[in-house]
Amino acid sequence: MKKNRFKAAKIIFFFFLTFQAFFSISCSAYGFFWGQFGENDVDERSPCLADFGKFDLSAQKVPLSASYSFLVVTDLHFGSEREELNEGDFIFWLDSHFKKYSEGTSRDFTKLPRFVINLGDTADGGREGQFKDFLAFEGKIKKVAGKYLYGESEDTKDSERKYKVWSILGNHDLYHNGSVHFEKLVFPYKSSYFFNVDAGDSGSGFAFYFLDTANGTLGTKQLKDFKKKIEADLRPKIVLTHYPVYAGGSDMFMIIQDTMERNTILTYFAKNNVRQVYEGHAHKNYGFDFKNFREDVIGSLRFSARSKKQCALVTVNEETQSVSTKIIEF
Amino acid sequence: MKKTLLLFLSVFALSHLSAEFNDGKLTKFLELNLASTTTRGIEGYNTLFSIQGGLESHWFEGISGLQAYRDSFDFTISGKAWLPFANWYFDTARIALGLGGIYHFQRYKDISFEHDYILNSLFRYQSKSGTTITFFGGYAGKATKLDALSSCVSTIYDDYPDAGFLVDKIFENGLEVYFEHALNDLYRYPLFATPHYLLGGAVNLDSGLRFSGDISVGIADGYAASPYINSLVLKFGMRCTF
Repeated sequence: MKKNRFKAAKIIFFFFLTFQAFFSISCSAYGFFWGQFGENDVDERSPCLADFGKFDLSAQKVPLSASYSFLVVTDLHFGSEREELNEGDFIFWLDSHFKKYSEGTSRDFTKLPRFVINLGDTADGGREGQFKDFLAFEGKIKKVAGKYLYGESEDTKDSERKYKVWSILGNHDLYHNGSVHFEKLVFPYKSSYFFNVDAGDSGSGFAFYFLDTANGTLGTKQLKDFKKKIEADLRPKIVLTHYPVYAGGSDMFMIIQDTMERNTILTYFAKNNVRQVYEGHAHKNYGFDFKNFREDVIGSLRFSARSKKQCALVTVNEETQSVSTKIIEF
Repeated sequence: MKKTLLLFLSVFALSHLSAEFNDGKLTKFLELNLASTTTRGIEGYNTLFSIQGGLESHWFEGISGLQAYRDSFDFTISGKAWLPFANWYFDTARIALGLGGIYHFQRYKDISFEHDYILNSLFRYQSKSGTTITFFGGYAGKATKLDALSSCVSTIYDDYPDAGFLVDKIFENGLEVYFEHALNDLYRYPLFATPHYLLGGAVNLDSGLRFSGDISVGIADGYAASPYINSLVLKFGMRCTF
């Protein structure tokens, strides 16, 4: 009988250990982070969206029209040793792309990326040095784009370069108090904001809403503020988040998990003229068409396990209020 | 809404009709709960009312209930069946395997209708000294209809794993403590990675009354992101077993 009791105890112990391991430990490569990041709370970090007003591109020397493009990169994971970023391939492609569409018979200014958007997971472990590595990469992008769009030279000081890379936080950026470094180092030093671009000078243009989803949620305050601001803004909108909101639902571990929150966000999108949503986090390219707006998840520029290394070239047409996406693979 | 209410009343009435089928070991209960949420989470600061009817026997447990507050209405019906060929008895304990099923409906005002269907496998250790440990794991499907998008996309679908465990200890004097770590609770069905931790205590009186109080903390994407408490619920309950 004692043997039986011992056996029962062993079974229970085994189950208990399995469940505990399953529930309590994750992302072990980044440390046992539970309880370490109380200050990285979206309600305190991003209670409301900062208003950057009109993003003025008129200083760019290449003529701007109602149709223009921008680049989306995501999940750069600086500091990761799992796979190389291949910065050189990306910078070479960027330079070739600018060259191709700036001059000669293939000249098409609508294809030139007027700015870059980075959807988060910039630093693999949220370390200061990893964010600084990103700044070096960002500097290379600015150097290439600045040459074609602003007539900048090699000698232009980094602090005087005008090309903009707009970033938001991802979940990895929060590890080891990473949001402190992000807010100190990475433009625009916030993770919840909006601006508008009126490239055709028609008085409307598109609004760009960047949401802080690095905790896997918008949080109560940001969600409330987002609702208030998009309801007051009649322009067509592009929304940028790190976490996919739904995007088809098939990648269940990668999306906003609270479906009441998810349903609320999708409702706000549907009711407030959102045309397109870009998301990262999943390291994979897929999307979902809700017919009056579309969600697209962009794969990582660094990792190739789930999709080829990639970025997205997005072309906006303010006259038709349409947005098209072209995936560039490396 | 009327259909759901009718279903709930039918299940509750059925529990009366089927009483005493198991040598008098079948018990029935009716439970009322009043819960308070905080400003954390999508529910905001609200008071939630719920009522559950249930029946418990050596081989079967069933529960159905309703929860309502200003913005949402939930209905859940669930059952657990312990398999007769997978029961092992020891001097001081019983170990059993079983199967469980849950159906949940939610109307979230002006936003969505949700239907969840869950199938679970169950493992239970039950000691004669009053300790019960239940593990459960299974798979779930969710169908959601969004009011604002119904003309474009009729329904969106999710599937997700379900898992958790509950430890419950009833002392000889009727005091009870319990702890649950699970992905869902009776009326909330987020996807995989938003677990809740529940800690509670209760007093069981000889008259069949039970008074309970517990606190539940929900974590948004608790396994990949830095933890964010997205719900904090304080609940008081009164149960009458007969």
